[in-house]
Amino acid sequence: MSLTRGSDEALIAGDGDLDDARALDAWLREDPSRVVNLEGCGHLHSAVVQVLLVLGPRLRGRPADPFVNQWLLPALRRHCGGL
Amino acid sequence: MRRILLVDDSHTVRMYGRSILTSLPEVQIEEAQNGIEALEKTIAQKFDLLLVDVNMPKMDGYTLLRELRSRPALWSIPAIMVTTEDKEEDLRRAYAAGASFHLSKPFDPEFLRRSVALLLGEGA
Amino acid sequence: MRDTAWLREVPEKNRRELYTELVEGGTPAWQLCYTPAADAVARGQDPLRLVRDLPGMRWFALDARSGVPDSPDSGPSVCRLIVNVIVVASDPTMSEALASEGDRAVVTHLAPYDLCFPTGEPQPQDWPAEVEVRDLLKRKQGLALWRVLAAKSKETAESSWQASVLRWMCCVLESVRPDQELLEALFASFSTAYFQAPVAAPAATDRSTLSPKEPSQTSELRGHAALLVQAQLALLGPVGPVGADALWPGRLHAAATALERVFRAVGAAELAAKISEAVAAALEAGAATPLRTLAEEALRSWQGVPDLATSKFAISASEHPAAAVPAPARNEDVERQALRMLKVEPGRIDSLLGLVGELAVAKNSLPFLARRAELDFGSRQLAREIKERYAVINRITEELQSAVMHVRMMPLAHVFRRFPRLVRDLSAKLGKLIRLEIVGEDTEADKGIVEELFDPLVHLFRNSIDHGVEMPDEREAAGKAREGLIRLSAQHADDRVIIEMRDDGHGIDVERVRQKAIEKGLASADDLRQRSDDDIIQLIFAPGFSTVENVSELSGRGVGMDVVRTMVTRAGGTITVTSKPQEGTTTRITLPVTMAVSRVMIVEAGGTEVGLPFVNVRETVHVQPGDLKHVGQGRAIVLRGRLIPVWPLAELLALPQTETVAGEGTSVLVLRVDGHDLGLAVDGFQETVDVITKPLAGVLGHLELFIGTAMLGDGRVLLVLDPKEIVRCL
Repeated sequence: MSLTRGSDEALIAGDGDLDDARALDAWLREDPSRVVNLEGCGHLHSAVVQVLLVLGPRLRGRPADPFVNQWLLPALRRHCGGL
Repeated sequence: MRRILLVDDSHTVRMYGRSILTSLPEVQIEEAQNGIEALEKTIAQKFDLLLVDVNMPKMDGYTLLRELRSRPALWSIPAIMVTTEDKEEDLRRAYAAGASFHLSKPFDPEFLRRSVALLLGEGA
Repeated sequence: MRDTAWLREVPEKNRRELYTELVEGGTPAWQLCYTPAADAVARGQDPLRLVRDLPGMRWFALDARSGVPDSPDSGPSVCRLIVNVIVVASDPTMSEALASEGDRAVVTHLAPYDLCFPTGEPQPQDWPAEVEVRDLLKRKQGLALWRVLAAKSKETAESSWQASVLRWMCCVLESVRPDQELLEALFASFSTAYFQAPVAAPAATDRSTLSPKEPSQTSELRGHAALLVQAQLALLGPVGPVGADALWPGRLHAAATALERVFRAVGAAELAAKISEAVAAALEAGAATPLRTLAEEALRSWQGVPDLATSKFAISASEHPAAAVPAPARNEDVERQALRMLKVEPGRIDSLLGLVGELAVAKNSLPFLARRAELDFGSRQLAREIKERYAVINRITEELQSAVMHVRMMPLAHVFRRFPRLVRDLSAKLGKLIRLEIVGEDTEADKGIVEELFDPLVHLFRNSIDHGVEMPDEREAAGKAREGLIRLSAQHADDRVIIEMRDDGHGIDVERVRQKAIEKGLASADDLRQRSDDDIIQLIFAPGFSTVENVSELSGRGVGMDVVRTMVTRAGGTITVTSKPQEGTTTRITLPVTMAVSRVMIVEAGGTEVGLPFVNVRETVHVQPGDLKHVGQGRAIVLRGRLIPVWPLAELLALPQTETVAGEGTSVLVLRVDGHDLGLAVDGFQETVDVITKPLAGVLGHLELFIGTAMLGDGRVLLVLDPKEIVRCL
């Protein structure tokens, strides 16, 4: 997964792995108002998903992967109170 | 397709029985108003189960059962006798005449449905 | 073990769609709860990959376990995910990878019934069409029912419990084979806010989900099958040789067929296979023993040694009349027995009652006739004779009415017998120990009244169990027995039925009621200071009042007593509550024993005639123009030193007001409603009649201003106003 971090938004592309999850985790903890952009992303690794689930950052973008789009993203949104 | 014959001189009771049993899968329900009509119908076509009321004009339930059990072509068909009371001697009479099971009125719909389902060979 | 709490998180729309899909048949649904190992991710696995591509996915939810220290370095490497998925598939295995996860991936079968439950907050709801719906439901008029429900659904707040019930009912009605019991359970929950799913799942499609290796048998099914097997033993007759019994071969074959089918139905294939052998052996031996043995074997394996002696199927050899085949049927004995009780269709009673009601109303035209005879035809003699005949007919009609009403009487046991289970369920859910005592269930009341009682009583039970009776420990600490007692009693008094529910809980917290009343603006602190404790308790009947702050496990909120009172009043009864702190609460409901004919006064207003319950009419007066005073925005009259506000009835009903002729006075009908006096200016007074008032249903059902309609002696239909509503509008 490539995690392109801007100052306040990160773009995820590719599946990712544990290291990416850690990086994302650290980045989000620095500034919880940061937004994660899932535009065009594929499958998300479980570790990455867990970070999103636990820290509940704002999400935007439309994933390319059908499973992520149809099931994963809504589940994340519901859990984090529709963020 | 399993065919059930409801035998009772009361139209209401037949309707009620029908409404309870139509929800069973693959069943066809027919009716007869008395023992004679029922006997004619069972001789003419094959039924898988009968529900028989005790009190009927022309030929009552006990007589119908005895007729069924004395004919090789019909004697295997399970027949539930519908009684209005649960007295021992009435039940003895029913089973002596050849009832496969008995139920008393008013019907408990679920009990009726399950009894019929089991006697048709289904684990409803 | 299925986690049903999780199922509640699935939105109703998804559950409904899935329900419909499952009932349509074919493929079953499965619930997967997958908790990957904590070190899964650290070992380089990606658990979500096992789930993402499962075919037939209908729901997906994520959650995270807590309790693991959350540090930036270790956090993401410890997998805390919990995945809950619903899948529609013919096989619960789903995938080998998941199967190899063993206990971490738990799959359970999801039946249509598991999905169906209403959710939402109960709203205070009045539904005059409820009676109609109950009737349609009983008569299985699916389409008409659907239409009424859909219409009501539109008017109901979307997030409310009631709307949820309505949507579910429509969903079940729309499905391939609408499940009558589910519909009835849903309907019952509409006003009680308590949903109890029917016991057995009926659909044959459900059976297809059961793998042949593990027939999922409820012990109830086995029990039922056992009854049938015992019946076959009775059918087979005595143990020894059967002698000259012409029916014996027939009974043998009948029993064999029944046994074979029952064995197959419960999955006892090996037993079923042995039947034809047993029959052959029995025929040869001339005794039913081989088949009996097989049946007894089945009974033993299902439920231990059967105690056949106590079973009603036990017919010993010596008593079995097999040897003496009864002579051809003689109906007389049976007929004589049958005549003691007459079974009547309820519909026939209703039409009889209707006819009697019409008679009661039709006789009212005779006084008219008498007047006409005198005024229009000048025959006083004739008028007198008509009045005399009327008196006779009147008396007979009243007796007839009373007699027919009594045919509809039924014992309260009819509604009481549902409560032991209710109490068991509710108290179990809350962890409370409660004993239910029922007294006087043989007390009889009109069928219509009895049927109306269920809902209010359910509310009262829930209040008692939820908020009245304390937890066992609390009770022990207060010196009471750990087990609480709720006593439901019924008895006659004059022409009323008195139903009482008493619990020995901690009573109503008067202080809390007082505070709540102040909070809700129902009364000021000063006002309340002057009232006694008993008075304050009556405030629980105020609309919108609810003393429950905590979300209870039962319903989310105590259902208001104002709803209960509405139900009771609608049936023509009264309700009072008394309570002693620490000792308990007693609720008393009195109801009429029979449905009464009521007196109604007819008045003219705005060019139409309208009825008012005579019981609320205090007097009729004709006021001179000068006596109708202006007071503030409205008018008033002085009657024996008291000021009584007067409102034009035509204006209230939004009817055109007739022009008052100068100099002519005004006719005022003085009503008394709940202790308040009120005057209605009308165009004229007409007679007072005895009528049977039927509540408004259908299109007009929501008009609260009217109690209902009544048919007059000449066939006209009169609308009868509800004085309480009039007061409320002003």
